[in-house]
Amino acid sequence: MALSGWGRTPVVTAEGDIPDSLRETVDDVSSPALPRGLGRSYGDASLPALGERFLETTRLDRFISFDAATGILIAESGVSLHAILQVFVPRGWFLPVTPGTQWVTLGGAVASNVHGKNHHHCGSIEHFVTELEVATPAGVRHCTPTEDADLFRATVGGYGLTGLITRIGLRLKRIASPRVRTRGLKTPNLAGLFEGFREHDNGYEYSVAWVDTLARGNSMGRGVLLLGDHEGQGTVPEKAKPPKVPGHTFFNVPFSAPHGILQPWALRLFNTAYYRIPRSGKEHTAGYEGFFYPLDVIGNWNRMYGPQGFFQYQFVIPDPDGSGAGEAGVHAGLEFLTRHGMGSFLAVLKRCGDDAVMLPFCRRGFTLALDIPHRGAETLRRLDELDRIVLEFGGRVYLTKDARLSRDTFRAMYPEWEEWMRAVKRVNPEGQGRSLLSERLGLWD
Amino acid sequence: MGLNTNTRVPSSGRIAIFGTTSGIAREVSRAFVREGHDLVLIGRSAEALRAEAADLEVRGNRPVPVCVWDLLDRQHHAERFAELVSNTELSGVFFAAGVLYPEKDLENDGDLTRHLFDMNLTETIVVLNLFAHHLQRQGGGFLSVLSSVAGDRGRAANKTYGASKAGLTAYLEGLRAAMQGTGVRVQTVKPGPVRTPMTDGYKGPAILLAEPEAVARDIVRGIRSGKAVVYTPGFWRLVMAIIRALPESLARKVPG
Ligand SMILES: Cc1cc2nc3c(=O)[nH]c(=O)nc-3n(C[C@H](O)[C@H](O)[C@H](O)COP(=O)(O)OP(=O)(O)OC[C@H]3O[C@@H](n4cnc5c(N)ncnc54)[C@H](O)[C@@H]3O)c2cc1C
Ligand SMILES: NC(=O)c1ccc[n+]([C@@H]2O[C@H](COP(=O)([O-])OP(=O)(O)OC[C@H]3O[C@@H](n4cnc5c(N)ncnc54)[C@H](OP(=O)(O)O)[C@@H]3O)[C@@H](O)[C@H]2O)c1
Repeated sequence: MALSGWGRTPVVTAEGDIPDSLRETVDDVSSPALPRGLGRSYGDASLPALGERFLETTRLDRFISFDAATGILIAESGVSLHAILQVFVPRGWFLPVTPGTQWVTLGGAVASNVHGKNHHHCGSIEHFVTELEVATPAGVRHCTPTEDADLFRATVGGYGLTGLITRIGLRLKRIASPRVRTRGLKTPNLAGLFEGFREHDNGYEYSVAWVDTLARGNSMGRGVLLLGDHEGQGTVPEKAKPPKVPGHTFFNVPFSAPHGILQPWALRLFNTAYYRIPRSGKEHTAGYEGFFYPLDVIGNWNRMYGPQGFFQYQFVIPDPDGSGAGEAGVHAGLEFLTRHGMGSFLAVLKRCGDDAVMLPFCRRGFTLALDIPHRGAETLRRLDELDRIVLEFGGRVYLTKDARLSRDTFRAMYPEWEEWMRAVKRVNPEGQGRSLLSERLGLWD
Repeated sequence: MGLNTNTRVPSSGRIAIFGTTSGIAREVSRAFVREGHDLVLIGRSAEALRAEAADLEVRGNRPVPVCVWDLLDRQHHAERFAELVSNTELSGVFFAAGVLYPEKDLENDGDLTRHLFDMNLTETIVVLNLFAHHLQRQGGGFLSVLSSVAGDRGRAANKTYGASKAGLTAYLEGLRAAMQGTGVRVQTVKPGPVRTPMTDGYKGPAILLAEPEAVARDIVRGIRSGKAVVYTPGFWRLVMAIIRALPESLARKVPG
């Protein structure tokens, strides 16, 4: 069958299985395949290399236990974040870290070591994973941050290469309300956004900025800084009334638009309109879905980019000592993107800290992410140029979104890769269940 | 707890899920638990039942008992049934056990054909009779059973499976008539193709393959409103009305 990531490029043909019980799966470690969750990684991380099979986890979606005293949930790796929220938000619990969509599996979230809008305070999901069971080609292993810690740190953010994560322990976090107190601050340009982050984001658990990628000149990088906290945070009321868990897709893009709906003029209109929405800067409250998952109301929005698909380009520029290097790097990247008219939908800017896994993406600094429609060789060439800018500032590109980084660039961006792959090979010496990503980046060489 | 008063599902007692591990039943069970119902899970593998029960216990935050019962273990139906109802009050039954094999395998294999009819028709009817009479004695409850659109019209691609489902559909229609006025509501569920292990080799148009979550929503809504026949997704009602109305010479030409 034809298979692609969320960006719909590249597309591969591969066969695979969708086992419906763990026992069946674990008994079968003799013929390992590449794990795949809900396919929300954008590029080729979830695509098997030529001749490899995939193993889809969406039916390994059972909760195993929950301890309300500690907040620790044990679940099979194919449960979706949506399922976790649906069950636990009404009981006053929330995901400790969440990406911008709830339609990912817990296994996928761990394998990409996802970060959320609270990274500047509490880091990526790695810090809340209490234990993992991994069906590696060398056998089923149990690991925690302290027990078989190498396997743990190679598997979290390990993109499926150590084998199939079967069971996951995740520490949920208490919330007092399903609503979020939020505040939007409009800023006239990039410098204003950085200023906004510095001034405000220590005071809020969540912060993120939407950047208008089409604005140029003096208003380049204008945007809206969104800040948020769980309502009533810190105090759990006696009887938290069971909230209605809202939310389904309101609109679905049924098939791919022939040339993509997201034409330049439409984007300009959208970005300008988004920026013009009055933002009082005052706090108001909103449902958690609107705050965390604004894109989830449109099912299959990725089809709007048309049949060629699109890239998501996310990079981080480190700024270890707060000297402003991160800001300069983001500025240079954004300047390049606007100069070449590559901006698409809104871009997302976020301040982050350091990840601790073996192959870390987040570095203390700033990260920018944006969609870039695939317009052929020209797009690829421009992105290579952008890689060079990112590299110049000591930055790196997020692999769960990537479909095109060259192996040399990757190695330059991720000097930790060799140590990580040594740990991977300890449990997967023959490189079974290879992803297309792992071959493209020459990880097994 | 939290039971809707206008629901047609009796508010006390457990809903028995027969064929718990089926792709459709797993989502139906979750939907029931979400609405605050208590369940008892039936299936042939203790280990598999325990995994589903653990999941539903976390979801519903209350215990979910299980009962090991193999539909083909015909000597023990009465015993299993007695055990089940001796310690559980039932408000209804959702029945999902069933098998599908490729027509070309069935054509050349008498044992496989007999096995399919044992599962989908003979033992299903034996067991449903036990439940129906029990609910009748008890004075009410529901029986919701998975048949299939495949039973609505004979087709070359699945003539044997279709025959078993046509038989089941006819039985359920009769049972519904027999239970008139007893408080026992009998519901025939006719899904189109659904994305479950049963259809993993499905080659038809992707748009016709329904998600089990959506099918489960239709089924639970149908039980709540006391519908006699539920087509899911709903468009199959119209499609099958048309296909049933076609003369055989034309029906033969419908692709699929
Ligand atoms: C709209 C949108 C917003 C997003 N926002 C963010 C964000 O804010 N922050 C962020 O960090 N990411 C974000 N992402 C990326 C997404 O969170 C990750 O790509 C995530 O890994 C996707 O999970 P999945 O279940 O779809 O996995 P897939 O895409 O199917 O797989 C991703 C990787 O995980 C591996 N994998 C999956 N399951 C297992 C398993 N059980 N065992 C071992 N390996 C496994 C696969 O082999 C693959 O390498 C976003 C994606 C989208 C579409
Ligand atoms: N999927 C579809 O497209 C579709 C369409 C229309 C109708 N249906 C009908 O819907 C029902 C469920 O389908 P599904 O797709 O959810 O099926 P499924 O996932 O293949 O599950 C089949 C179920 O039958 C059980 N079973 C098999 N042999 C058994 C036995 N000897 N004793 C007890 N249970 C046994 C299985 O239990 P084990 O786990 O122990 O094997 C499993 O729970 C079936 O009647 C099917 O005909 C399905």
